[in-house]
Amino acid sequence: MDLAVSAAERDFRDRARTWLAENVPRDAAPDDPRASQQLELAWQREQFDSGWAGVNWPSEYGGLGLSLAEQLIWYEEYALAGAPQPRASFVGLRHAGPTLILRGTDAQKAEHLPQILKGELTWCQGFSEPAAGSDLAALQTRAVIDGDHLVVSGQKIWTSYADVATYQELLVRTDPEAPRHRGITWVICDMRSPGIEVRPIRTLAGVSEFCEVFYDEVRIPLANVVGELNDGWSVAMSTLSFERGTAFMAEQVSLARTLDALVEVARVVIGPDGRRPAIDDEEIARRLGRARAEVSALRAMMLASVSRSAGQPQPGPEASMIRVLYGELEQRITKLAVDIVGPDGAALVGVPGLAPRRRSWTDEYLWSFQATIAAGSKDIQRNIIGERVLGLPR
Amino acid sequence: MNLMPTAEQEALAGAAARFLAGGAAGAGAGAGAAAWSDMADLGWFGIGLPPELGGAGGSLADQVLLFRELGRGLAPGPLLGTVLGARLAAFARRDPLARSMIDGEVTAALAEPWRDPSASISGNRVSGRFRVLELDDADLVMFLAPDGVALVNAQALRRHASIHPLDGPDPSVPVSLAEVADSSALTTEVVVTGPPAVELGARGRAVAAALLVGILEACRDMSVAYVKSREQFGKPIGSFQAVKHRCADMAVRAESAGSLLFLAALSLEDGLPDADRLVSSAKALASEYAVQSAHDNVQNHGGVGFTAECPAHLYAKRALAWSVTLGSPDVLFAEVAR
Repeated sequence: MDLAVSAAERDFRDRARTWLAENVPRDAAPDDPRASQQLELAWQREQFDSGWAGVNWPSEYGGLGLSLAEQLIWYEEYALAGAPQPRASFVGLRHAGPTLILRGTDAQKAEHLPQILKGELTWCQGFSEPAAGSDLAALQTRAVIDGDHLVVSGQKIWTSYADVATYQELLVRTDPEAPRHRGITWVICDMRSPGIEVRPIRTLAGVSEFCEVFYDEVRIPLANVVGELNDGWSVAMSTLSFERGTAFMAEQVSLARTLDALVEVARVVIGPDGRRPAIDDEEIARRLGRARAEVSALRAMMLASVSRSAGQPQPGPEASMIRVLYGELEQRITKLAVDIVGPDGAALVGVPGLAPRRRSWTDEYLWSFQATIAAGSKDIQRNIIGERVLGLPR
Repeated sequence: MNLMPTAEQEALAGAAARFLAGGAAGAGAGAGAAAWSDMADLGWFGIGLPPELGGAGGSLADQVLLFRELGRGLAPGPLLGTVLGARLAAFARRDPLARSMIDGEVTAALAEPWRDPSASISGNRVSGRFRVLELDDADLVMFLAPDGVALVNAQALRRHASIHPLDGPDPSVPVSLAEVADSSALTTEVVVTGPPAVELGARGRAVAAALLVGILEACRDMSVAYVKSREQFGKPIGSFQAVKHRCADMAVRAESAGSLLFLAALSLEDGLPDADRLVSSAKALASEYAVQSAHDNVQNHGGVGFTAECPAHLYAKRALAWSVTLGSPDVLFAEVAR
């Protein structure tokens, strides 16, 4: 047990910090998905061209071939520099790419990984269905083999950025007779294929980030199957463990920055009792301090998880502990912000010297509601912790 | 960077767990004294101190791993005061005094200011109102205040202070309130102020947090074992989501507080700038979480959990006693916010 950092890691951190300080885009990303995607892709391309894309991705596919520890260092420096967190490119960078690295064929990796790293296109996720949310294995979107193709019909839902994505990690039922976990296949779906219809869904936060996707006899080459036919459940578990585990490494640093910003707000605005700065209110101070402690705990859990993995890229079911704490903490922090500034932000009026924020604190709080739904609801995460970490019966 | 224990550290913790599971922490004064001398023989009071003083060497991380086991095993005795006292004596080059604590011949109770902003350790004088743990048979009292740390003869404290024995939550952790008037301020055996005192206070918080993390893990494991075997409605109650999720929350608390504790202890040992904040965060979270998990553990055991026979209450009582020792969550969270 030690905090020793190798010379290579220290050098990597220094170089990353220097490059990010000079190159991070300063423009606020627009809410419109298409416009924001274009900015993201340009920024991704810039990272690739300068040799910073895919830190722990294999070098033969355009990555840097470094360790998970260095990937974490990059995420930390990235967030500390205030670089934009991926939105439309989240799926490709954070879980489709890692899934292909772990489970894809050489041809799949050679085709897709460089495209993701170069910022040529984005991916989306087609897992949930209207009748298969938490009970993902109930999915019914059918795929029938026809020659060297799968023919897919059905519907997916909650697919973020489906309207701008080029590829999709798609789960389909290829054997309706088999036990339900054994008849599922994970396949790469080209979103430009005939028979696909995408309908955006308006979220409670106003933006149309996620979509329904309808498939009407969509033809997908069998060569796009990742893992074996009917073994898609195990591939999906890899995807989800990336989505719940390592994908949040960068976000926890962003959350720490958000909290630091909130502490600064609490120093200068008048608190709920109308008599003194918010930070002098004992209850506010306690909640801020507790949130800070929990943000530190979250980081420690990430470091422990990286240590435990000992170089294995795929997090275990312990990732769900990180996901639960992260989601609920994001909600606690943004709710605390709403309590400090007021739901309409009235406490901020006329207070000089505060950095402008892309979204209001109330919008961030409302947005945070998704943090305990996406990537598996907090209830499902607790089932996973109970059953797969603690060994409790189903 | 690696937050996992080394094989050597696993061995230390494993040996401690086996020793404590063997009933060494048994009840009764005689058993306590025997256990104390066994623990001293195992080198547990000299971790992080040099072999010339009879110390066992090693790091704060080693000490934290050991104290996690002591917390899990509900080990008896003035552990915190004695190891901090030994460290203070060693720092002050009072070698024979340090050696006597490391060897288990001399014990030190633990005292810290109790809701008294004027409590102070200055010059070689101690005054104010203090909460004292395990004063009963102690030879010395280890005082920790924000401005200094000191060892005081326990007899002198008994003579000069007005001492109110309290009805503490845990009968095996005696607590009293000691009021030392300015006019009869106590003379110290050893006193240190300034940065070394602050550092010793932070170490104390880390070690206290370790005891609480041990409780967190013990409660989690005890609950998990019980809800796997206890059946109602024809199946183990651990299959019901309400129970399962309570256990999941206990696991998240243990994992998060434990990971933070190790990060904090390593940061403190390395003298990193954010070490104090991390240590205070770890102690505050471990305190709050341990009280919650100990309560949940009783809940998971149902009616059985409410009986004296079921050990669940022991963790609840010990968690309460230690949760306000060396920094309550209220004080520490406010400190971390600033």
